[in-house]
Amino acid sequence: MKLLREIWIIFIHSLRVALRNPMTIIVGLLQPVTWLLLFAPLLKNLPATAAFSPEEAINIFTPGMLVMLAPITSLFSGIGLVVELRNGVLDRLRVTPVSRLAVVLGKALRDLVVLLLQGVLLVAVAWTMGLRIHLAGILVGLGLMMIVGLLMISCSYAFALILRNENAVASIANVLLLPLLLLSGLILPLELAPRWMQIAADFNPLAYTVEAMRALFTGRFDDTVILNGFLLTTALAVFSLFWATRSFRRALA
Amino acid sequence: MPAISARGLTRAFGERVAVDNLTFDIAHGEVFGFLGPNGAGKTTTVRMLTGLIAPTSGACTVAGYELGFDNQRIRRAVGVLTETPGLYDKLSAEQNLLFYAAIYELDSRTAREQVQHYLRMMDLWDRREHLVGTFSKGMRQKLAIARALLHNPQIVFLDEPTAGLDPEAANVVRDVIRSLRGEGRTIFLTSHNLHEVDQLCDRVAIFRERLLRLDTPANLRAGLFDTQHLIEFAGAAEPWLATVRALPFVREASVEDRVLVISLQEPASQKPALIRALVEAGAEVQNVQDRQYSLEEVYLQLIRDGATAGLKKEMS
Amino acid sequence: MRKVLAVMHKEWLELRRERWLVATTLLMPVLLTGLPFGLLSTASASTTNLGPIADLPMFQGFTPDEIVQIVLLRQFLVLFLLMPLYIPSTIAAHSIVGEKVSRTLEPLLAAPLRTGEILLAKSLIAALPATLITWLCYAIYSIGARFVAISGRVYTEVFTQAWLLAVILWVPALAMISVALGVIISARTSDPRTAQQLTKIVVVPLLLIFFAQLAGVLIIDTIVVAGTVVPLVLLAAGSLVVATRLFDRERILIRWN
Ligand SMILES: Nc1ncnc2c1ncn2[C@@H]1O[C@H](COP(=O)(O)OP(=O)(O)O)[C@@H](O)[C@H]1O
Ligand SMILES: [Mg+2]
Repeated sequence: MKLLREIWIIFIHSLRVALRNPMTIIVGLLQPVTWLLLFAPLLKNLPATAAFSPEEAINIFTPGMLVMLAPITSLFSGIGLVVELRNGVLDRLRVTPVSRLAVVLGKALRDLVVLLLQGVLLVAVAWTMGLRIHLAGILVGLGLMMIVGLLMISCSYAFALILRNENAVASIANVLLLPLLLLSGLILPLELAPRWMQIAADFNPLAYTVEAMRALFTGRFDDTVILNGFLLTTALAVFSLFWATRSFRRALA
Repeated sequence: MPAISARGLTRAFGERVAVDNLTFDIAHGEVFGFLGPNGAGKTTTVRMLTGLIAPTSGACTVAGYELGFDNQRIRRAVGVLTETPGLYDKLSAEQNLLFYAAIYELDSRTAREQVQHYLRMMDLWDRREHLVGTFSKGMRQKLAIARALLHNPQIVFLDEPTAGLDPEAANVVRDVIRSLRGEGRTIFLTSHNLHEVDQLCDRVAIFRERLLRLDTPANLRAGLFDTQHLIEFAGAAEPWLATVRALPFVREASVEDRVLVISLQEPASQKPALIRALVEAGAEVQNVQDRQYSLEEVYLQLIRDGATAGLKKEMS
Repeated sequence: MRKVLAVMHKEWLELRRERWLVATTLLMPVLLTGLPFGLLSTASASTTNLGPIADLPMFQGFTPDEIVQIVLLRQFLVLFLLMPLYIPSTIAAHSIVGEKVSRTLEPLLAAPLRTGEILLAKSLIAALPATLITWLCYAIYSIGARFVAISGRVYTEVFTQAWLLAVILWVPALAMISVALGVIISARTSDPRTAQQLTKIVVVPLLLIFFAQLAGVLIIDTIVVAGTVVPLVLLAAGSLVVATRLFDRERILIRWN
């Protein structure tokens, strides 16, 4: 109970700080939509040689985008933390007995709310472009996206607290993002990709998440890929949360 | 032509007027103090005068160039110590200065000479190869002043150069300003420290959103309040109050402890008459003193008046 | 020009100290160049299912193993267009907002520097290393591929004059476009995080090319390169001009407090 209240306090506080700069949030919200609009014309022009029809493209593409959204926005969360560290904002927390886990979760929650809004917006725009909606599947899918978000945010916080340099966090995020983007079949299904890409992708945890997400979007709830995707993503998220909390404890000791 | 000449300079941030109708002239070689509390609009003024932000209205010439038309020339002609030193932490002291020397287009020999000259002057020569990130606040401030002086500007703006420094570092900075003054440069010095402007400046502007007073430190001290005469008696002062008030040339009289505090219309000529009148009435005058106000009291009074005047303006 | 060089030199001194930035900037091309060789050495027609791609008319007359190699080698070429877009984006995103948060921007703006000079210097310092690294990696890739290619015609099929031309001409232009975009974003945001996040948009068009090529929609030949190079260079120069126009000195100072 106490933990929940602390999380809530930290969340509300960081939300207030963020709302002082509403442009940042608005631009962030629009980002995935722009991507969708940029990709859409290409998807329509995919040749029939591909493993699916052009009409199907948006249904395959949107779940991938949803999973991709999490690392693209959340891996950079730690940069804000570096700025707070330097401005001494975090020092004020040092003297308070607030649980470090509450700090991580409260701050992460703010970013997760923005992520959720982005996800909803993305689905809404995709729907106008012909996405088939399976409501329950999409709701569970948004939950899965938030777990990925938590995983990425926690990792980013840990980098930030250890390195204390915004360029370092940005650099690491970039290096991680590149293979995640290229090798996860995020954009198109891996079946289409050459075998080497599939092998490489097997080492990418997000590939499982994407598969689970695709299954959810079509409402195939009995598909085991959903359970696998959830289990793997959740396990990683819990592990990274633990890491971030420990880093907070060290940084604020 | 004055070094800086401002006419009706005004700057608003949205609804909030930070600098209102500021007019003054600063002569070449003058050290001009710009005194005001936090949030008075000092930094905003410096930013306008150095072409960093545009005034909402009003005009100004700096070093003979019209603000808003010749900003690039103004920037070349003046040196600025901004509110925060703004040095590159990941560069050494010397690299910081050499960078700015290049931007001011000093040739590389002059640049090296100037950098060495100022680093020595600021007592930073031995630390020249150290990263600025490792410097104390005072060292940074000195280095930032050096940066403002590298290209030998005739006009130098210093925005609160001693704010936040320990007394020793602040004294070093003041010594630097004194030596600049000796070189005949025009200095625009903002401060919220009275003693500083009192010591260093030829003229002082007391400012809070508007220009409240502009004069030499001595005139400021003398001009605002009357000199008051403190008269001490052997016994209580109370009984003599009525006597004094009856005199036509006494403007005000009051009792503080055993002392009578009196203001006269013309202190110099009327003081003997006052004492004579008291003695004739039978008082045993033990001691007569004049009370001069400190610049601090003048300042506080002005700022308070300025605030209430502003308040009145808002209410009307 | 001397002032531009001075700003570039200062940027260089600062960047040199960013150990992680340097390390990852160097790591990315190593990864992107090393990965292909690792995968190529194991790929053959029996391990790679190309599906319908193998039936495209342009592959007529090649053996299945050759087709696999051609597709893979060609796919990786797109990475050399990704590098100039992606590598400089971190530096570009940091360029202005970094000086904002460290409060070094005000003295810089108070100095006699034109906006164009500041932005040109900051763009070049981000775009130059990215361009050089990409060229170097392409050289390594094209030379290394000679040893991996199972036949001479595979090599000549992939490493065409058109691609050489594309890498030489497109890469600097793409780098400048990416950087100008990053600088605009950096100047318009007030926190470094948003700047970093938003600049990642530069990879989108590249992912498009990546998949367009995989699907056989896009074929890069000399005519394509020659036809696009002038627009690209104009776009690069235009973006820099736009960046300068959008750079509002006053807003940048007063919106930061
Ligand atoms: N960028 C800004 N946006 C809005 N208001 C500002 C800005 N800068 C200064 N102000 C306002 O203008 C007034 C004067 O500020 P400033 O010039 O910094 O004062 P000083 O330097 O004397 O402390 C303050 O009340 C401040 O709130
Ligand atoms: Mg100030």
